[in-house]
Amino acid sequence: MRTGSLILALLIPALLVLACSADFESPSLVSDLRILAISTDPPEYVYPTDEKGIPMFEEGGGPPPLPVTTVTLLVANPEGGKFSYTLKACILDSNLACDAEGPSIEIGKGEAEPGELSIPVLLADQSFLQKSAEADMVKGLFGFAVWLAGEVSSGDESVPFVKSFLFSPDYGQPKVPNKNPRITELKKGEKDKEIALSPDDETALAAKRDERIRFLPVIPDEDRETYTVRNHKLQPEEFTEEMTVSFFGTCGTFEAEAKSEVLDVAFETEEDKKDKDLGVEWVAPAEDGPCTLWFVAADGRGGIGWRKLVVIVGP
Amino acid sequence: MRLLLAVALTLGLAIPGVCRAQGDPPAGDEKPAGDGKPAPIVIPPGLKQFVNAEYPAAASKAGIEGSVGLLVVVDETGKVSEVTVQQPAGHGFDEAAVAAVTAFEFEPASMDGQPIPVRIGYTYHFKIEKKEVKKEPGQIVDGTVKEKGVGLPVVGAEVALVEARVRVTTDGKGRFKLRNIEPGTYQVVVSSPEYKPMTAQVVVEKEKDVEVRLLVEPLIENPYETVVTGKKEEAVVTRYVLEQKTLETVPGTFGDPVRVVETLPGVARSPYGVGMLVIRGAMPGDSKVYVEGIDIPLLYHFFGGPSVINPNFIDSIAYYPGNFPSKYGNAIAGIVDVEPKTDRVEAWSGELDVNLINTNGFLEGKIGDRGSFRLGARRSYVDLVLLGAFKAAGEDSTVVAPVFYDFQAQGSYDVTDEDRVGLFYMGSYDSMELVTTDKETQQDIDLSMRTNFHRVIPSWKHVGNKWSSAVRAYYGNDSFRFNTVGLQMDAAIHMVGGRGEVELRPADWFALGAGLAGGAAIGDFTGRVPLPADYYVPGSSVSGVDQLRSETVSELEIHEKYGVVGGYVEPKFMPFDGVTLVPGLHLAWWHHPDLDMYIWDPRLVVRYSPIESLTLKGGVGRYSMPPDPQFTDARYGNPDLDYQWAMHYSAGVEWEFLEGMSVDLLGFYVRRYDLAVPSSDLVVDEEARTVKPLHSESTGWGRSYGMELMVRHNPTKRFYAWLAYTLSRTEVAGFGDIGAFAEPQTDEAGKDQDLLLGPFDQTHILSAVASVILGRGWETGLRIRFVSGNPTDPILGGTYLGDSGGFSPIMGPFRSSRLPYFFQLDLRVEKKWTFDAWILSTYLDIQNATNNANTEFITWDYRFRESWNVPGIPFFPSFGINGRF
Repeated sequence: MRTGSLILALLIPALLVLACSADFESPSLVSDLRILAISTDPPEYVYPTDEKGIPMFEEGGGPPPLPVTTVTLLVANPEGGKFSYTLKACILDSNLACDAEGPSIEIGKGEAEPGELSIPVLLADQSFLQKSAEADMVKGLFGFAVWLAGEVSSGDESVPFVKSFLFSPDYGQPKVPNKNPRITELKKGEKDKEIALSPDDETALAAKRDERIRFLPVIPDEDRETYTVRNHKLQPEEFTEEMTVSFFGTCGTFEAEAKSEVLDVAFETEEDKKDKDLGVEWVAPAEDGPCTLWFVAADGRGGIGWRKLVVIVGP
Repeated sequence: MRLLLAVALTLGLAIPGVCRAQGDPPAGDEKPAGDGKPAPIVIPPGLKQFVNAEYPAAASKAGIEGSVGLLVVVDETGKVSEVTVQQPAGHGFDEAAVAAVTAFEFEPASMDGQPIPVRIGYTYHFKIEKKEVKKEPGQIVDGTVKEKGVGLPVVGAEVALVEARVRVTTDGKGRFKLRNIEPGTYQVVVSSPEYKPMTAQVVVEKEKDVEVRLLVEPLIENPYETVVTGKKEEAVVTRYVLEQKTLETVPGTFGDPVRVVETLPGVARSPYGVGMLVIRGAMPGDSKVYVEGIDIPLLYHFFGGPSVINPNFIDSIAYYPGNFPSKYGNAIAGIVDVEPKTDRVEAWSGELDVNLINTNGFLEGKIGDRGSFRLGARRSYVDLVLLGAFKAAGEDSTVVAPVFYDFQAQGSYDVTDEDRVGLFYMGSYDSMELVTTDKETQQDIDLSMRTNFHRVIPSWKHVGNKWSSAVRAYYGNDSFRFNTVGLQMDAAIHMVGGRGEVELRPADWFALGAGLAGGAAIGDFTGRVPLPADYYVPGSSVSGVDQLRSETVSELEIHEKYGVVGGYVEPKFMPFDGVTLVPGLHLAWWHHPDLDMYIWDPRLVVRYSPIESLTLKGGVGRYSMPPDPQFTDARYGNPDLDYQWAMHYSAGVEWEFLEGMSVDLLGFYVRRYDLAVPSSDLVVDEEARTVKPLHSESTGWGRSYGMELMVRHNPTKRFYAWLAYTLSRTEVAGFGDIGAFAEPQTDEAGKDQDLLLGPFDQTHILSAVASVILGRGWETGLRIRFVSGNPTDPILGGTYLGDSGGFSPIMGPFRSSRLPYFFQLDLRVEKKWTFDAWILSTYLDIQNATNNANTEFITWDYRFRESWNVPGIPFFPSFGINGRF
């Protein structure tokens, strides 16, 4: 074995990690036009197939799928003002932009105020779905993704984005489509001593300058869905969703960009996994004024949910 | 009767400069030629190495003495090429005298400064010392002349006892003997062209012989012996040979001989000096490094550390950038062959070197008259220095630091004058250790990575007039461990094998080299490692979700056996003056557990020298190597892979345009085929509707072409320098995921469209090296490097990934831009103090003396809007102290 090559393959990323001490802005700080989250509701469409995953509608066994979903963008723009947007369903090129030579469906464009922008999506074009399946790496053998791509822009800033809408075969068994996770409440306080914030608190929580507050986003256990995938030999394997929460704010500092229930296989034991919590400490800024915080949950298979909190910093 | 083993009397040969050929007028007495031109200045040969003749047993028993008159031809290298008996003495004296004189070594004669062959007369006397010889009046002054500091014998030095008006020349071991010296006080004067004149006093007492030891100081302090660099072997297109003096004093290499290779043509610069051997744009694993004919897994210690072999063990390093000889296989780019010292140790010597990074000790000595040994060890202490610094600062700090040590041992014994047996052992240990003063961190984080290897190589070498051979066996052990809390990997490989080579020279116009080699290895790989998921989630390669879950960590256990049997044959034809043709064939059978590969590589080298100072050369050849075993494993690789191979084409010229200065210009083209590349593709079984991961494919291919230029000033005692420049381009294709259903790009046109710059493509590589001994123990040197930046992929922005919340870079054309140019000036200055029995030196080796902020990588913020050029090594001085005896 060329251990030398393996060693270099391990060492050079380590070098990069050690070398990366540039003073980049934290992803948690929202200072300009940002997309903080995109959800599709539902995130997954299940279509009927036989036990081998061959779509029933191809065999004349039923109507072709008519998938409907709603795309919601969570957009922040601290500098104020509306933003413009475009949205298409398309086949992606290597740069994750709509392939100019591929099929696409215009879904929407316009202007909106920062916040949540919801756009309904109806994918009635069967040939487009067929081409999306063919663009999949294994030709839709295990399902395929339809890509929703677009851009938000304001002034000189623009942010292109992509989001998948997953089409999954049921393999002849009842299959519940994925749901977006919910952050049903926010708590604050020390670990294991957290108390829930009231709805009033979430719209105007008071905090002192430089105050340290620990927040705990709560995701109900029923949102950690158990689901089945088929392995390479078409045998079912069952997994349970593991949540990741990302943190954003227009001011203040979060101790971490995200917390996750997914085990860091390199550095964490099974014991660590049991202790995993999604709490995070936030330090209020030294200046008075409102800070908007967002907590975005992801279930690891395209499901997204979020919760917003406004903190009023005073003396 | 007491037997004298040898008596040497010459007709004026003992003292250099005084010798004359028998029958020829004395030097300086030549009459001018009839055309009035001044006569050439002729300096006769000087005896350098005297050999005692064996006194014929029968003659000794019979008490017979004799003198043999000889006519001796000394060639331009100082060697005796012909001995003819002019006045025989019979009784076996003639044969004994011829045998002894044939082994003499001379400083060659010269005419107007150019070495010339000469024929001289020489009489060898055989005398038997009789017991009842009358005691000579006076005493004997017996002594040796040695070089101060290193203790090397000084051959051919003139020792004169002024008041006694006697003089003598030291023999091959620096010894001399002055007889019939009356008691008194005398001035001794020692003189030699390469040493400062030395004067001492000796007191001779009545009836008491005297033994003296005289130490002379060289005009230039140089503990090393012959200094040659860049000598080309006549049977290859290009081979650069670096020998010891050059190996340890090139600035910026911290005294590491192997790093000097990186300043030669064809070798790309590696980031942070980590020491990847990238030759003509190929991947590091495509070139091989050999020590004592056996390949080793690691060339350098971690994180740009020194090479794994102690410099004191290295006799020479041969570097082949391409078109290497048929005896080498398992490589498709270049070869670095490190030849350890195996010569007999003449005197005990040792060295201790202490610098900021490591301490290095070395000792060599004699075992009887025919044996030698060498021992070396080195240990780094960056971890200890950092820990001490943290504690001194009183801060809690954590860093991962490299630790390394290596050790070598070598022994040899001359069974006969032509046969030497030897044993060479080398071991190397590298680890990355967590250095922390924070107890919590120490408890929380378990991180270690280490690798080590050992080689034991017994050998037998025969060097004769008509044939030479080398037979080596080896046992090796490589191990690697990576361990954190959640991940672990252990690998251990045991290997045995051997190789035998023979070189024959049955005629002046023909030589033949051939060899056989074989080896077997057993590898054990175990661990807990993240393996690719055995299920597929549509879109996950784009969205980045579901890529690494807790459940994808798997227990790994592989136990495999590998083997190889190979051989080569390489005849060399010299049909006409100046023409050399070397066809060759390398064959091998490689056995992997699920794959057998049969390799046959024909090669050809042609050299033509129309005049002595000019050589035209060219070569073509095929070079093959199997993929690494992990690529062909049935479970984690692809057993259907092909072996990788390349065609090398090169042509060039070598020209010695001035005495001691030469240029070597070479054009090359390398085409690589069937390179093993990792693949995330899935192969679909449409009927069963299952997929199987491909893991790896033989779809990679590439080409490199360009020009290599080497201009050098041959090393002298004071100075060496060279300039190496490479202009080249490397392109690759077939390395991306082309998808399970994509058509393979088999036609040339289709392939050309996929061409990208290779990851190590560096258009311009310029290195200039110079070192000069200033005198009074001072030596200084510099190295300048100017290199094109490596290709990079321009990033035009970032796309927000709604599934994961991260960003994906929007790429410009792949590898269409470059990092900034690299420029670095390295300096070295050394001061030596020479004492009677040892030499002390201190040195300062500065990398990046101008603190140029060279960019090694570019990193980006989370959304690919801001970038930061990660700088390379800043101004970095290393101070060291060296003691050598």
